[in-house]
Amino acid sequence: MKFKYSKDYKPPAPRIKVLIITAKQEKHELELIVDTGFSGGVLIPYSLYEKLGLTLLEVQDKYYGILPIGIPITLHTALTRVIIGDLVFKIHAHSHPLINKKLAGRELLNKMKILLNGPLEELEITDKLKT
Amino acid sequence: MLNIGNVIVVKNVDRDIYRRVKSVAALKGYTLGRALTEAMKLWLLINEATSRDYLEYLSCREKSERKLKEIQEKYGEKFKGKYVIICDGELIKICGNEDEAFMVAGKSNAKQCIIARLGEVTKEHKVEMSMGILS
Repeated sequence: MKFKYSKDYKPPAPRIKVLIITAKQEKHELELIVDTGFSGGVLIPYSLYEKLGLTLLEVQDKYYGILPIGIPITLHTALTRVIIGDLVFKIHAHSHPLINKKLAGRELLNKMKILLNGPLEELEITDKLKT
Repeated sequence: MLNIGNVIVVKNVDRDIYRRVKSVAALKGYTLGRALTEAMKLWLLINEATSRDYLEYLSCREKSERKLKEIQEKYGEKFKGKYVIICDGELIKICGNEDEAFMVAGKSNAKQCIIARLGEVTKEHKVEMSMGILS
């Protein structure tokens, strides 16, 4: 499975297209920028988090996002499924009203073998890790 | 921002957005001042609506957390390992498995739900955010 880098960033940034399962068990397509500096699963804007009904699938535990400047912010966190091609993962989706990014973090990325082909500006998922 | 009589000077405006607004305003026969005033009014409206909605959600989450604490104390040991669904501060159901709990919560018309495993304490997790978050 291959995904072209996003040219909205300079230099272009690796991205993946996923289907996220909503509270009503529907599939919603999302483009996520690959961010290995983000340790969570998926980060989406709060407006989208609400639209997908993820406020209905929230977890008991509390998640605090630690900003690069060291300030903690309370994240809203739900457990959901993400589909990438024929791969399905149960991961945490986080959001915060002041964050407008759509990111795939290490909780999701570490479940796959990913090749970042910089010269071709292409991300390739070669396999799912056996766990 | 600098305010001299009727003229307001604003720094750090995205030039691409500014050009687009200017050209759309010209096409519509608006002055730039009128277009910006309308945009700012709309921004205030959206911001207000979002925050009211958001505060309502936060209040529901708080109620659910209180209820969950109560349920964990009351039934945590008795139904250990089962899943509880609490929506807007109300106990909805105790389910045998997580998938069923997700289905029940997903069908709810509530503002907010927590799905929790009975007998488990609330843990706190730190999530690293990268520099990209701030850009």
